[in-house]
Amino acid sequence: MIDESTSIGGTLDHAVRVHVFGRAAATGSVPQARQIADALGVAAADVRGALERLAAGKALILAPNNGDIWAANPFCAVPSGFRVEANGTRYWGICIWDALGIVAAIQATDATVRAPCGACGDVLELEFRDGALTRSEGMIHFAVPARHWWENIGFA
Amino acid sequence: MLTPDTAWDLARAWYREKVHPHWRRHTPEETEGLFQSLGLTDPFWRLR
Repeated sequence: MIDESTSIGGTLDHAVRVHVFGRAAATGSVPQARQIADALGVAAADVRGALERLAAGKALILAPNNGDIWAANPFCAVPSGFRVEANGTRYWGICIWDALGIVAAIQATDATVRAPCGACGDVLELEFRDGALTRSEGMIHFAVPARHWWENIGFA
Repeated sequence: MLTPDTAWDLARAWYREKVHPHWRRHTPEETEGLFQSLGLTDPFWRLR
């Protein structure tokens, strides 16, 4: 059952969004439709509808093959090369920007981000201490102009 | 190409509210303003 704490505005879409991002931030694991439905006490079909609307609003990204959440960005639902360790929890992002976004979203003071170099594949490390980026290496390359990001967000 | 520091500034501005219940997506105007505030003024960062 949806309670007042998660249904600000009274909409299922809002409750689903709050639950998905709350669980992802707390656990590093992005819940899928069945788990969301069980947690909120609603039908899975209704949750899938909410997820489709949230994806259409660019609040999260669905996998093209099965409609599962691919990323409640910045949180990636599946393991990737862009790893974040913070607060004793492991997270994944779909890119280095999102990996840094995880540190911001969970308001971590201390964190380690590891990402593969796009040129040589070596793992690069970035360290956060006391809320500041204290050690980094490499440069961040954006390949797609900003106005085209959502034409294929997975590629971007 | 962004330095890690600029990428971190961008990530903070972009995602720091994402988990908050009252999060809303930035408007194109807000996003362009954010890019400009970080010195990202090249046409690459224009949305329109």
